[in-house]
Amino acid sequence: MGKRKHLIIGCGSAALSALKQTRKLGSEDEVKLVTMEDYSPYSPASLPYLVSGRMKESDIQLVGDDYFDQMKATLIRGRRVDSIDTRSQKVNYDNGESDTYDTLLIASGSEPVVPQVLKEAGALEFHIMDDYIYLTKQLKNRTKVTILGGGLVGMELAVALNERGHEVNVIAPRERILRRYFDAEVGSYIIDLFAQNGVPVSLNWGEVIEARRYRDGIQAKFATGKRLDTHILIACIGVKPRVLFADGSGIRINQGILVDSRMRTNIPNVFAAGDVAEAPDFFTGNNGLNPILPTAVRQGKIAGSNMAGTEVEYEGWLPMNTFNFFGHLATSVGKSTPSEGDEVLIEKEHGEQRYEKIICRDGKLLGATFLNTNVDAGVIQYLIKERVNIDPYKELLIKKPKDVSLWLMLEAERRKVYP
Amino acid sequence: MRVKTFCDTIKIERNECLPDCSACQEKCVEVKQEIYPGCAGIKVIHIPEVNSHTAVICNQCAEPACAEVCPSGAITKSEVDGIVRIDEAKCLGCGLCALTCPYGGIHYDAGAKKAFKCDLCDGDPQCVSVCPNDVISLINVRAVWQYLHEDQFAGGVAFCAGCPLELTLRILSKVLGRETVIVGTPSCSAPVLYGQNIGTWHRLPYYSCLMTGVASSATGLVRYYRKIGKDVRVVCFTGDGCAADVGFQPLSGAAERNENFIYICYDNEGYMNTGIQRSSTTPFGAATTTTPVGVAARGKGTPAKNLPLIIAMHRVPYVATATLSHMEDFVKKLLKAEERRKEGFAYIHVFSPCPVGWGIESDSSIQVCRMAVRTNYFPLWEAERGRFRLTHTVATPRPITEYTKLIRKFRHLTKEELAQLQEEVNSNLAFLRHLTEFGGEEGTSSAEG
Repeated sequence: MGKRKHLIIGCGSAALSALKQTRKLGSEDEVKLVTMEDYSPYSPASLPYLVSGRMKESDIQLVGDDYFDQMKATLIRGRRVDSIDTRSQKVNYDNGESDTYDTLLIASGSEPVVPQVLKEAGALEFHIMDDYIYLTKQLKNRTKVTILGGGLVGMELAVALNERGHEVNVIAPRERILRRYFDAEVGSYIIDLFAQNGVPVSLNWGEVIEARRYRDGIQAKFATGKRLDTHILIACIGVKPRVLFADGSGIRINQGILVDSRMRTNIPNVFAAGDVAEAPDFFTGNNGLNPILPTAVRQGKIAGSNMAGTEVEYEGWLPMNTFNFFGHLATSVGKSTPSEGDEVLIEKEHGEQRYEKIICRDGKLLGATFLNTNVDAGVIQYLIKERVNIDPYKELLIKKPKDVSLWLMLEAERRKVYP
Repeated sequence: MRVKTFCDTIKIERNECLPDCSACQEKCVEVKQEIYPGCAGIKVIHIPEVNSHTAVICNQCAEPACAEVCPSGAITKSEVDGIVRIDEAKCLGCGLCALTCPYGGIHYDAGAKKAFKCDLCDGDPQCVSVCPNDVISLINVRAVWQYLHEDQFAGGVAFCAGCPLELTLRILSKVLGRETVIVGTPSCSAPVLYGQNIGTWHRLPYYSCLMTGVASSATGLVRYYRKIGKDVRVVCFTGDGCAADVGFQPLSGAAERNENFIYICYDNEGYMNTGIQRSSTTPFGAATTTTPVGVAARGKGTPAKNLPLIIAMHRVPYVATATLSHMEDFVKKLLKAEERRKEGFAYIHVFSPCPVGWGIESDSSIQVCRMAVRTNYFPLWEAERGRFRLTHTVATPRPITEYTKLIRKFRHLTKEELAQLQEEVNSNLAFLRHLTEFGGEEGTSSAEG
């Protein structure tokens, strides 16, 4: 077979991971990456660290300047995709040009959801490098910042702005924060810790119904009747897959682009990975979104293998995250809220703001939540993914999570060699 | 998929740490104080509830998940030495590496918002030497794996369950490659090498002769290949009965003539294939069918003949001892033997426990090998033209009882007899140490004189 041409839309973690994997497998196919942004590749996960001032832009560059030459790949920056023609295997760009492909990988990531009324009133969003640059301009001479949204992006940004010296508060539309990762109890501990560090978090604000620019700032009215008056409002309500350009291409889209366990869409030579992909999850195999960095890297790797002709199956995604705020650490891996029939073990010490919870079923670990616990979260993930039988040791695991999880991992690894 | 960059790694013997010891972790904290205060790349785990005492450390993975996930590109695997390092200046402190690494290789300090991991002290890990129990060792994987060829043996070969011969032969063929002729005898290895009744289990040419003819047949083969101008390595592969007893004269003769071949003796301390009779390398006290335990006798009454030392005294280019628990050491010795074969005679004596004849569990052969080294029962050494060197030294030798308790052929030994065996081990080691003192040019010339 002659050289084929792989086209990758996007240049984030999933895209780079796919590129690297094709090369690792010895593929000499042509690879071209097209990204709408005009910066050296970076991960949006590092943007809050620029806001806080801990890092400089040059620190977060993901790969060296000569990386794409080394990888024998082409990177086109600052070009948006308008549409995809899957029949003639062609991608059309906003500048009128187009590219053909043998294999296409859509790794376009996600985009923030911001209500129109807020956009018009000058509320900011925080998702990509341009948003960061615009935000820093806006921050000059203005101190009061409000974050709308109790998700991870909003909470991390609040911490970063606080470190930068701004007066920050968080308003969450619903009755809980960080719902995807933490239960209500841990959520309330986190809110307490935020308050202790000078960042008030208030809940139940509901939807925005009215907003307008007012002098140097912004005013908003909510469905619950609450009113807001602040200098800068940053909307961090949520993200959705960036799929607009794929409309009408024949590629099946639900919320994101639907893919199977080899990251293939319904069109045989079109793949998707990362935030944009709706892929099978680990526990049920049902398709769903999991817009986090480790998932993007893993899916990119699976896509890259399959694009290069090595069939590799995805084990499915797990929700997980780790959140460092004011020196406290909250970590969640797998299930955070038990279903009917699950077994739950909890250890806590509110005085020290320490909390451990594990959820299991039939002796297998399904999920764990930790607040200020000395534990290696990756090892917990291992125990879940390898479906290690923890039944005789679950009491011990919750008592000494770090040591016992490591020991269970070592034993499981040993059994792989000596069954 | 072949990974190009192999890295030396730290091996930790599982569950062999001393309870409550944390010497490695303390040493790491001390060494890394300036780079990262209070952090250690190695972590000790003591869980008395399940009687587990061990330590964990970064594996320096071939495809490090931590580096793949790092959002600022701060973690990289070096293409030079294979070490996975964190560039602390670029580290965001987000903790995603710790969330991703399945092996507990990342130390994440939430308070300081920094991640830290083992960097093998750039190749000279300080934790290794402080371990009071020889649990931690640095494995030179790179030197070994770079040389491996395709395995020349089929799966499911006909050795007894747990016999080390299978792995010995596989690694031999992987290291020495396809251009190898094996010379062997009727013995434990014959069912596979000669393939009695059903054909061979391997793709190497095999010359089968009687025990008395191995070294002389190999001599003929080497000369034939030399005559036709083909560089083929000839390897004799026999048990200790052939090497030390039945075929000793031709072996000694070939060594003295400095013939260009490799002789590998797998030492299972007796004639295991023919019914577990004693040989001259059977150790003191061991029960065999010809040195039984009863009223008149209590196992073998004399110590083992030290065959590798005798061969070394022929002052041939290369002599070494090896065993499977120290695989990288074995592989290095095979590579060295292959190199030295061009100058003349090379001999490797491989310690090879026999589950059937010695009475050991079939899943414990490697453990027995390891304990033989750790008790100094079977010291690992090499001698190049009479210059001796210990290739592995044991910081805290275990008492011989740690070894004998694993093996049923020693179970009748009384305290006094065990003390005698211990004395045997001690004096053997002392003798060897004396020999190593004759290193260097001076030692060589005085020995010649």
